[in-house]
Amino acid sequence: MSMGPNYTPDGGPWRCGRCGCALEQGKVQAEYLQSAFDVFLPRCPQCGLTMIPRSLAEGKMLEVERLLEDK
Amino acid sequence: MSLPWAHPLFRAVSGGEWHPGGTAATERLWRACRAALTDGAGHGTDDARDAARPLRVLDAGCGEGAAALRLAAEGQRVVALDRTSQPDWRHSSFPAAGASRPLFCAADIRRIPLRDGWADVVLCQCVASLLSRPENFFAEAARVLRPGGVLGFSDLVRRDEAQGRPAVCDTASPLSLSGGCAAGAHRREAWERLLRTAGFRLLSFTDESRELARLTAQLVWYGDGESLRQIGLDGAAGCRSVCRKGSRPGYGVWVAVNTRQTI
Ligand SMILES: [Zn+2]
Repeated sequence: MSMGPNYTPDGGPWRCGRCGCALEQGKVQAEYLQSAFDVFLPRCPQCGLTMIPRSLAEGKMLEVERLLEDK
Repeated sequence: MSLPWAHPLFRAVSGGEWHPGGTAATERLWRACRAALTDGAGHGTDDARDAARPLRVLDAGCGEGAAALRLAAEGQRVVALDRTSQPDWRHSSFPAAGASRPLFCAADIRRIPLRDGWADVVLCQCVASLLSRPENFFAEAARVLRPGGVLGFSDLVRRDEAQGRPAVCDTASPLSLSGGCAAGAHRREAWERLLRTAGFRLLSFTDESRELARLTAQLVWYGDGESLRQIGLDGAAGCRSVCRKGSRPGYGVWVAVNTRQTI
């Protein structure tokens, strides 16, 4: 699918800890148990380090993990 | 509540085939059905001329018809039925030269408009649980299949320990067992009893619950709050997060042969 949820950083501007660059919204693909999920996340334009906002980790990501683990 | 596959989110995620596993699952089921016919489980195909002819396939509950179009494109004679006619039946692209086109028809799959013994293969994917009296569909499938014809069947399977125990899920969720489209899910043994009663001999069962989990996960991931509410996956009372495995349906696939000896 070309679409995907968009997650901005939790509160305020963030910089990459390695490069010091300001994070930019970009499309990344999360993969879990052979399923791929597109999502727009803040990432470092230089090294590609991606930030996973807490709202995502504790929200959709957790739900999807539980569903895929079939628990 | 409307059925979840009428929703644009479901259509976008499921990619044209409205059952868990999509195209790949249909291909697996089709290959298994063909193998069952050639293995002689579906005797009557020994005659070389008979084996070379196109197979007569009924797709019972065809939805938009993607699977029917593919089977017709590979040269099979396909009749595809669904309860309501779909715009795609008319608009789908015409097949390559030489390939036939499925005959699409709006019909109740518990009253199939085909003569006795017409079909070599009947496919029915994730549809029977939507029916009241699904046994009428199995009886019809046995009637329209020739002796030795093969049924490829898949549907939602109850996995809770004790039959009749109320599911803990939100009653509004179509994918929960207590309401919506999973309400017609049966335990594996109950589906198999329906198949045997209609005169089928079971050849194989495959647990494809993982495909259902994948489809649900895609819906949850790509759906916004509003869409998920509309298809009943809004997580009311945190349902979809906290449901135990046993209270979510699984998904099973069967291949069975029609044991009737005469038409
Ligand atoms: Zn960086």
